[in-house]
Amino acid sequence: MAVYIPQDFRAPFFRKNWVRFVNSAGETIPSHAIMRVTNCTVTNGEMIYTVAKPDGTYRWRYLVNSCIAVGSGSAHEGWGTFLDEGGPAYYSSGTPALNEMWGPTSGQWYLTQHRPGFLISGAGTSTSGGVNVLFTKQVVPGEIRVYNDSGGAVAASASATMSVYGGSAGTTDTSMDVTLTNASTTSWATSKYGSATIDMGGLIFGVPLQV
Amino acid sequence: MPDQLNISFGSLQGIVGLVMPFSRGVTPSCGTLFLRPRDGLDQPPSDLAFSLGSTSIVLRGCALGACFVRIGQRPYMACQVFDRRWQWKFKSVSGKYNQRLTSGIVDENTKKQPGELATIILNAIGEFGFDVSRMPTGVYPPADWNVTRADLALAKLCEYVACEVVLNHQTDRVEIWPLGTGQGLQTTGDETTPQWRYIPRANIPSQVQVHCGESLYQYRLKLEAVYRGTNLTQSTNPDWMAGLSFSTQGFEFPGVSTQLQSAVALDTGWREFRVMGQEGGNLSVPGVPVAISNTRQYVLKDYILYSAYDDRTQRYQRLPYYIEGDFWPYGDLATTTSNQVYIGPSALYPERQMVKFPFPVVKLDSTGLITAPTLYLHCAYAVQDENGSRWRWTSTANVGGSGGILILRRPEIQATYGWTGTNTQAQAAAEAEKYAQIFVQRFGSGQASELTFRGLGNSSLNGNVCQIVWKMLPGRIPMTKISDLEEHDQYSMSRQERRRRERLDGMED
Repeated sequence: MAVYIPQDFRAPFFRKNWVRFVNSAGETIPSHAIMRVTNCTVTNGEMIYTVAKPDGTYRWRYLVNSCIAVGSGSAHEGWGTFLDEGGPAYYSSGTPALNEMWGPTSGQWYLTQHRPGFLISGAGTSTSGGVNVLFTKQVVPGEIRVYNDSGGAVAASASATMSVYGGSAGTTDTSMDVTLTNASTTSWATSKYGSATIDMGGLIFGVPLQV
Repeated sequence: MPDQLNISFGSLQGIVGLVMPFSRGVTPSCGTLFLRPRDGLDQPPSDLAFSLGSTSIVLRGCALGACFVRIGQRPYMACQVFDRRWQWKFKSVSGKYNQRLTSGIVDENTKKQPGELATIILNAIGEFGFDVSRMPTGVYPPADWNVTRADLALAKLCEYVACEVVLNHQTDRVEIWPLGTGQGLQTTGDETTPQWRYIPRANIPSQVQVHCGESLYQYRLKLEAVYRGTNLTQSTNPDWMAGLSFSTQGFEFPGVSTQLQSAVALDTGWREFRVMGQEGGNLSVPGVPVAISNTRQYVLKDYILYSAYDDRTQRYQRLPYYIEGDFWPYGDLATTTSNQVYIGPSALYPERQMVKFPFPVVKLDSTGLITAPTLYLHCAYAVQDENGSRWRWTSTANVGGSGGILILRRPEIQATYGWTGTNTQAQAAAEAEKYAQIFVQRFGSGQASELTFRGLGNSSLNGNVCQIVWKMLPGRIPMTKISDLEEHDQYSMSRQERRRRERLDGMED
């Protein structure tokens, strides 16, 4: 393997924008884990994120741990990146392919195939720190596929919590939800697909794509 | 009818006598010409010739020195006259020879036998037809001449290899003789006293010991991470890590609680590593009989035993220390190197036996947690005992005299032992042994003696015969005194004094 010279930026570690984070997951964060940001504070003039394990709410943007695992203590710190430049990320199973989208998994530290959030850089994989890694770049999605399983129709301008859907056919519940506001002038019938976006303003707006 | 005595020096008139002690070395021999007092004494360098009967001796290119008037019933003018070596001190020589690689091997590009070095000097002096063939071989005295006075360089060289410069008045050529060689005094029946031999015990050592330079080793040294505590003590377990685990404290040590703790943690944590012993974990260095109980007995250098050839300067250059081992190279993945050379920045503090990195150097375990790297330091180091006496190769030879041990220091000869099996002990031992034998030979003919003849003896100097004194004084029978091993003329400067002055002059360089 190549031996890098850390100080001259040839080492990959130094080519990424790292941020400090504190572990509030209550468990060890594995190498290359996908992490949910829970807060951000400033200590001694430096921004420090607080992270936890991804939960059932889709968070649009996630932090990715470096190859250094972080102990479970609440004071334990690590270095994370938003993978704007691309890099390794933890995955559990499946075969990544170029330009596929993979996304976070509720209650897990790894990516799952056919979900929004991470654009695969290629088919290459490896193992690092005891986990499988693929190579990807985080792309905060402009729109995600949602499914009205809120229990009833959602009237125009009304809010509801719907499931994010993915899978190879877009018909698999990711077990992650978003709370959105129906931005259309029509009622969003139950069991109908639509899209949700965070880009339209201060709220997450959604529109039904099926009537 | 007695043989006619003739003494001449250029066009100088009125010479009535001459006392000429003629000795070895680079300092010109200084005789005294006696002549009737006269004014305006000025002679260019000329041949000093004197003869008695069929024996004629000519010393070429002599020069007058100071002149004094000796008062008496018949006042004389006594003029110093120097043989042609007077002009040697005005010649210089430059060159760098017998430079050593860090392994102790002589750089082939600068390698010169003593005879070759003497040839360079004598050519610079302007001598020709000289004979250096008797000089020893197999030793390589260091020479670093930068417009150095040639006579001093020659004297130093000869002394280093137990030789002596001889101006052979019979051939008018310079010869260099190993001390202890050459035809000794021969009785002819014309001598005025028997040849009483004696052994100058005080000058003959019992042994010759050649002390080489400190031996150098390069068996790789294991490093361990060290930290500075809040009491500024360096240790592997600093006080600020109490209750914390290195594996979970990352690079920032967020678990420490005070500013001082944070300062020393960030300054030293995973950044400082010190020598803990040999690669295998013990302290003893292979092949060194010195008991080693502490790493302070290693004397670290900041270079390795291998040299790199520079095609521009055509010289071998020293290479700096390096570190290798298993560490995380700041790659994308948690993979660590396996016995790889670390090529990032670091600073070696030899006296502290410590390496410092500008950033943390760690290893990541199978789960990606931080753990101690396995690092080895490659550098040359000497080994010393607890009293600071450094282990060196020593060659001993018996002389048999009653003096003590003559210690010859040859620091340029170093036995080196490298990690990859490089071992220059054999070369160092051979050269040291050669020096020992050269100096044993020097004292080989331990019997000093002198012979005084009527008339002009025409022997020549060599490695045993060290001085001839021709004495031709008005109204007295011309006499010749020849000395073997020890100079016996009490009126001329002794060899020891000449060398002392030469060394003092050499201090200017």
